[in-house]
Amino acid sequence: MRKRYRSIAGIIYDILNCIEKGSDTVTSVSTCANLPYDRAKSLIEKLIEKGFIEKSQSNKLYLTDKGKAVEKKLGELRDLMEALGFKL
Amino acid sequence: METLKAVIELALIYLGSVGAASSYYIFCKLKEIYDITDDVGVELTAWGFMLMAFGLLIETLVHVAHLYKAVYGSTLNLPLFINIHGNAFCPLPPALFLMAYTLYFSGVYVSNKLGRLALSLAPATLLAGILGEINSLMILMLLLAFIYSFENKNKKFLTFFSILILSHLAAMVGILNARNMFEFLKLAFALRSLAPTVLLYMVMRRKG
Repeated sequence: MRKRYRSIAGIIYDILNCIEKGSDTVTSVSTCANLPYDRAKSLIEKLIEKGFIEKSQSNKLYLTDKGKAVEKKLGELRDLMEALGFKL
Repeated sequence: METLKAVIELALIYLGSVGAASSYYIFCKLKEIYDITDDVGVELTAWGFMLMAFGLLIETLVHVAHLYKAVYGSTLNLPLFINIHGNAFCPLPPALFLMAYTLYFSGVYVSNKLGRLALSLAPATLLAGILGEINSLMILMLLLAFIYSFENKNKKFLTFFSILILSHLAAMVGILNARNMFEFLKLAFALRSLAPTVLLYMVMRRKG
């Protein structure tokens, strides 16, 4: 089977979407978004730095308002990205 | 006859303005995605669309000069334009389009890790150098991207590229055919302006 590449935009959308749908740990996000654990962890840290994701006191991941807006925006721009040839 | 010429020029100015605005809109949207993702590929593609918008804007100005000539009878002399048989002509847009496509493909390559697409640009450049014609280079670049992306079966992407390929084909035929050169170049400009507009329309229609 051919390996399916995704652009960063597609991966970030999948991570945010998984958290929105209830994945609240790095392990569950990496399974849901189909990413290796280390890759998921580094991307989640990057998204925390950007203020899209936050960790609760019990160390659970959740989307900030900014993160929800970004997820919505990426969802809206998916069609345009695909139309331009980006793999999502 | 002059009225018909003026109407055609007006229609081309309208198409060019809408095409440039559509390209600029795509640039803005891609910059938004870049701000979220820090994906250099998206940024490169965004700047490709900025150059496309700039190229279309300059070509629109050329048609403003043509309209001026059709209405007032005298040539509008702008420093950027040269005159061929009394018609305003600017050699800058083809170079801008070539840079736009290069940035576009580099962006898609960087983002999607498409090594084959990047490699395909080298023989395309070589062949076009042998042919010595900038439109043939653009046709080859677009054709290779078209063939490569065919497996994705993305209708919008294929439509966008088909219109651009047709546009450069028309420009190439125009350059080789001195008698109808300006008719073909006008057709090429109309198609080139339509490409980003049609792409945006297809994306928006599905969303709406």
